[in-house]
Amino acid sequence: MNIPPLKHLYVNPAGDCNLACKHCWIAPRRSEIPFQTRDRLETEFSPEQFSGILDQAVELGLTNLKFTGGEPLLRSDFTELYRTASEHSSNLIIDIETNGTLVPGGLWDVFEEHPPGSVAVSLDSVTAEEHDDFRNTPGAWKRTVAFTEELVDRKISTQIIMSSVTFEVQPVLEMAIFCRDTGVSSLKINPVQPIGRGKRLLERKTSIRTIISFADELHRRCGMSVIVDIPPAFLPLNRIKNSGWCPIHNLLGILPDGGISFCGIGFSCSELVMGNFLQDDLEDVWSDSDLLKKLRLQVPAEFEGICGNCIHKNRCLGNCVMQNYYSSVDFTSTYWMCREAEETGIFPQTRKIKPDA
Amino acid sequence: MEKICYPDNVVFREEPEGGILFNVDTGELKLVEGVAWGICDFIEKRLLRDQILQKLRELYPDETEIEKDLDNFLEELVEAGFLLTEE
Ligand code: SF4
Repeated sequence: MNIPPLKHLYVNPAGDCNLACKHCWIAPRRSEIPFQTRDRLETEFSPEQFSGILDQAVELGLTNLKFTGGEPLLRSDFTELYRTASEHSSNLIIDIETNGTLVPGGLWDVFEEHPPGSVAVSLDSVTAEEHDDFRNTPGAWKRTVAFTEELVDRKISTQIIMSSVTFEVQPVLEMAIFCRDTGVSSLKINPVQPIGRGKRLLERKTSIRTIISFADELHRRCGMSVIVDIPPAFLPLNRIKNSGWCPIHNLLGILPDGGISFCGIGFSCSELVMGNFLQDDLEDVWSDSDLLKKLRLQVPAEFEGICGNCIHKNRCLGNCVMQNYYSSVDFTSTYWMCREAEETGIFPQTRKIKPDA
Repeated sequence: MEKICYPDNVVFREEPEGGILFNVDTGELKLVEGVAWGICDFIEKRLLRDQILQKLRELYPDETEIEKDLDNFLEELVEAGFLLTEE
């Protein structure tokens, strides 16, 4: 079997977070003081150790690195980690996903020297009370908005990520106006997923029909400036070209203790941790891990249900294999939105390899 | 390049905004819009290359490069495995 290049690393420097968002798919432990960074824990990898994994990952084809989490900016040595990555290889594109409420020392200076590819900031409402309630932290909105404005002022490509549980259009339109007025480059709407804390939120079940019409209306009213993160089967053709795909076959996730998993899924499913870069050679894990071999064999070739009969399966790869695994302990199972669409007879026939007779 | 058709493993699907060429064996997918969509529809309807050219000339009388553009597009489809040709 061909071993693909390892192009992407999702690096999780911290397993905890200073907020306690109602929808979080990882549901990490909450740090002690809401708006304060903390020192590196003994169990977390250091900037020097991080440099070691970068050497190995670049050898395997690394082109993109994303700091995510947990909250990556929670660590007071984040700037060192960021500098380590950005000075390691000038071609490396570094992105960050953050709640935008913390500014570890030296952050703006290091961004000035080595601007990130993009920073995605989570903001769920244009109203402080709503956002703070969703994030379970009074004062979060104000800090996140100030952080976003600072990024834009510094001409750093900034994306707002807004979670939606209710699938109401109006709050998104208000956020789109906020983004336009602030100078934010793009707005991405993430439907809350039935994983981690989101599982409880979605128990007040929204039908797939509602989600699809929510996306259709936003696409119609906002054009390309708003991206709704739904599977390509529900996107009009002119949207598919610009949609992002999970690079699961070219991706590894690094956990705070050095654990190696497919992405952040290793936080929730410890059986998906394939090794630890502090002890194991990354190349050995990438080429020999039984879990990776299984993934390469099964995805998408052995997809079940509608994913197996979908014309998008080779690129979409089941939209989020790890989410599918989380709900069924199986890499080949179907993404929940598409499964529900098929069950209710609204999965588009034109997107099926074999349409219904 | 006279007779042109989709191979057995390629299907053409139409939607309100455009068309999709899909290779069932490789999973390759090509989205077509505008004139390219129209050409794919003519191929689906089994028109010969010259008949398609004739149609395009009628539709776009002011376009001077139409034959070259058509042949380039057909060539692109052949190279990507979405089209078979017979002289
Ligand atoms: S059916 Fe599966 S492969 Fe197709 S769009 Fe949905 S999640 Fe992606």
